[in-house]
Amino acid sequence: MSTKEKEPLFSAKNMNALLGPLGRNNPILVQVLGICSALAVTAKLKPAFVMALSVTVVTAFANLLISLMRRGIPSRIRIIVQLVVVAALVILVDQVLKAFVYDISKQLSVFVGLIITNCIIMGRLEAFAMGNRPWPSFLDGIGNGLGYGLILLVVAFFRELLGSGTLWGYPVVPQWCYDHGYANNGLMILPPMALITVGIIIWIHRSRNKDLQEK
Amino acid sequence: MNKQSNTYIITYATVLVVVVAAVLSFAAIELQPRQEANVKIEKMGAILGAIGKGVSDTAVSDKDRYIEQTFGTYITKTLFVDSLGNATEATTEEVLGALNDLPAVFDTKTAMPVFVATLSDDATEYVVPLTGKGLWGAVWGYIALNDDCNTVAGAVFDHKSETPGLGAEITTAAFQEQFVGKRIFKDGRFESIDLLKGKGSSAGNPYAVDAISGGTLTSNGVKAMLRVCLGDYVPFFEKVQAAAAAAVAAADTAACETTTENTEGGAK
Amino acid sequence: MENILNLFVKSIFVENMVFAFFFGMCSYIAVSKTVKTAMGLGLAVIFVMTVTVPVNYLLNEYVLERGALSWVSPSMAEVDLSFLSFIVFIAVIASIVQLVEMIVEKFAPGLYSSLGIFLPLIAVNCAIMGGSLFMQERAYAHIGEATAFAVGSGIGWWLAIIGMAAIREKLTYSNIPKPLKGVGITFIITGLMGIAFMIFLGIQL
Repeated sequence: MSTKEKEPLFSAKNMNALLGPLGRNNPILVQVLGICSALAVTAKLKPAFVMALSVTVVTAFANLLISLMRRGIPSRIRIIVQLVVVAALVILVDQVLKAFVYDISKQLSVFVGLIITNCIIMGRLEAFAMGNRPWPSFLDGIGNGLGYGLILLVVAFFRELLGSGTLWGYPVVPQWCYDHGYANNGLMILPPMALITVGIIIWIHRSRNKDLQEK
Repeated sequence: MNKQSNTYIITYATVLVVVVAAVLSFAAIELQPRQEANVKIEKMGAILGAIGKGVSDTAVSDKDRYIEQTFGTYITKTLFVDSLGNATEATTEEVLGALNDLPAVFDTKTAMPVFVATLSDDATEYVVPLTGKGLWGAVWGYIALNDDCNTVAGAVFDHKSETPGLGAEITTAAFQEQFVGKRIFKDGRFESIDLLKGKGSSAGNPYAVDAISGGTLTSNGVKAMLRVCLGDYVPFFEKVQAAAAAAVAAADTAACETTTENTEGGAK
Repeated sequence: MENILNLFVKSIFVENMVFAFFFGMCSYIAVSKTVKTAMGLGLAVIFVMTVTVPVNYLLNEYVLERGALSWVSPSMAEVDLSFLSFIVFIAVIASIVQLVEMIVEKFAPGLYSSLGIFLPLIAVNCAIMGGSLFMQERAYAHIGEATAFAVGSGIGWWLAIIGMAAIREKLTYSNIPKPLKGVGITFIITGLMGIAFMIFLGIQL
């Protein structure tokens, strides 16, 4: 497999692997992958951001490693090998978070561990990394991680703004609003509203991309 | 080489496991001191918060060092207290270590941590840890009592996974500041501090604060935690109070005696 | 006993895996189109959960936790392997799923044909991994509590997916805005069901 065609690092195809998931081919909205644990950390922007970053790192490096290993992996234990690589990466991320951003790692608690079973990662490994070269796989991982993070941040933005009246922990709703009877909507902070928010985002996304609509 | 053969699969799996284990152990060992330091700093920071010397994230550039220094300055004595109120002195390290497994500490009640803070020459505060269960998981905190072991000087609370914006509000200054000046003994009997529903419902009541609206179950958890954990320390508090009373009495007697002597002296 | 019952009911209704923590959403959305398939996956989840959580509990208690190895020799009381817990848990889950698949295939082909296709899906179901992680984080006192929690969580998940599938079957006849059809409305309905389940909040037996 030593074809001489030297692909430029950021060829159109590679850019598509990187940027596609941010918009039209978003992993959450289109492929409906990886909503599992993530939504539980979207009540505030800060943990959502760290979660998004962690997932991006794990997806990118898992894709890279599996793509490097793809010729050697015995197909019978493929899933387990993938899980071990992902789990090892997640443990590394967890250890780093605990050592350097302890406050936030406390808020994420078990949800860091759940990155392992995040369907996006396994999904991308199976669908992309097993059949592509390392560099495009790496970009695909970053793209999907970011696309996933984008939704997380959008959901967290609305939930924090409407639910707590703050953004990134800073109050943004001015005091006179409260004085005139405005109240934070406590419901936004509770888990069910995360699902409804995603539902609405999907609604908007699909009204704009008509070909994604289900019959 | 046949990739489907059992030998290949077993070799592959073994190599993978060894490599992964090596990488992870290395990372864990490298990062462990840092992680443990983080846990310790957090606890020290919370204790400082209870005595009103806490720091916000942005106030100082090197938060960790500031906390260690301030902790060293103010926390002058660390004690282990048993269920009869007998105190034994222990090193700061040992007492901080006991905070790592508080539920067990309150189960056995043989060595419950107390931090004695000296704020100025005549202002001593006693900081005790609290632990309990909120709605979803653990809640904990530290409460600082004045040297009468009755009036609350400050309190901080934290939680594992309470609902953000509702139960999680126990970590806010607005909630914690309510505790300052409240009392835990009523006419010499342990009363604890109640959390009452509704804003302003505890106004003027020295034995209660306002509960978190929308966070009833977390509030109940905090209430139970205050009652149980402070309750365990009551023998110790009473001893401190008795000692203080004795000291006052002794001082009074001493003062009386001197006056009598003086009068006598004057009479002569 | 009382405690176990409380834990059991709590993990079905109050701390429902789907409605309170969004665990297992991927397969939940993908497989809730008809009640029949939902039933298959739901039962498989209950089963795998009931097996893996207690096994992981024992591993955590006697191998991974700080001081857990002290039964081997007192000198190992300080060993803390908890950083390996993620990898051990997922390995246990994946191998048990594999094992169950093989056993069911061999001894109950009928069951295998109806349930078997869901088993591989379960290894990466967050609900299963979440069950083990919550078990570790909440530090249950003994294996009875851990098992009660596992069975309860499994049943809670089964209940959620069955309910969802039943609603989706009826939805076929509804006039839903086009962009909302399918996934979108499923999310919103799950949210509404979650709100309904919140009435159980704070139940103490």
